[in-house]
Amino acid sequence: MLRCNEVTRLCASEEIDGAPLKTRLAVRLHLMMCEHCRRYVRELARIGEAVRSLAVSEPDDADRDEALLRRVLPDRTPPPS
Amino acid sequence: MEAVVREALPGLLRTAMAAGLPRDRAEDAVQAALLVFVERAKDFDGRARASTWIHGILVRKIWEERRVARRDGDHDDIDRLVDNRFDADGRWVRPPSGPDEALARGEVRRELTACLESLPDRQRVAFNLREVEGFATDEVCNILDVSANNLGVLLFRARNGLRECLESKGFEGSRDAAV
Repeated sequence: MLRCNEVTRLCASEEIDGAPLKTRLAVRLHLMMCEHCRRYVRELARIGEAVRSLAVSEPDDADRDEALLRRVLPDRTPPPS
Repeated sequence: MEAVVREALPGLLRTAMAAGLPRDRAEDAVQAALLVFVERAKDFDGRARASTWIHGILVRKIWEERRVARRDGDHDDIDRLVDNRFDADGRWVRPPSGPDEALARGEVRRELTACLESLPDRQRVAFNLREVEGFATDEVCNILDVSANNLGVLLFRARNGLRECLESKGFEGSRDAAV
């Protein structure tokens, strides 16, 4: 078992998380020994980090958010002045 | 209530845009979903997290309006692309050589944005909910109304779609870097 294409599928789909302990250990062992699969997993992790950082770097538009909240929330009491 | 809505707002807008809506329509969709939530909040029993619930309403509305197909196709080009990287014994014949350090240094924002846009909507939303909004896989299944298997397929395709797209644009460390 545990060919590179299986390892990468288990990781990219996150099926690894629900897999039995035996499988999870086998994947971990495989990754220790296979630099290509290690690189693949690392690239996926980097992509996740990069997308998160893209998302949080989007500028906030406080006025737009407030306007939307006002339309949605009924009978908001204004903050005490 | 206001705190819940206020806190959920940025993530809801991101999700609506990840589903393919331009910003102004994303705001409309989020507003509609929040109005439903506010109205039904008294029925909300709190068992599921509020943000999971609201995201589910939002996604459902967007899919209905756009009449997005219920499931990803049984086959997808990305499946074939990934498959071609391995030989008959499942070993790499074209090992990964996508951006690694360049990604970590934040140098590929423009390419990353383009690659995200090139993903099918359902894959991009699944990826966003999991990686950016940080929902657990069972919560994402709830929000998207898909099985765990389906979600696995969506995430597999989204992640490989992004990885292949980025690699094809050529960066340091790739054998066929674009000149």
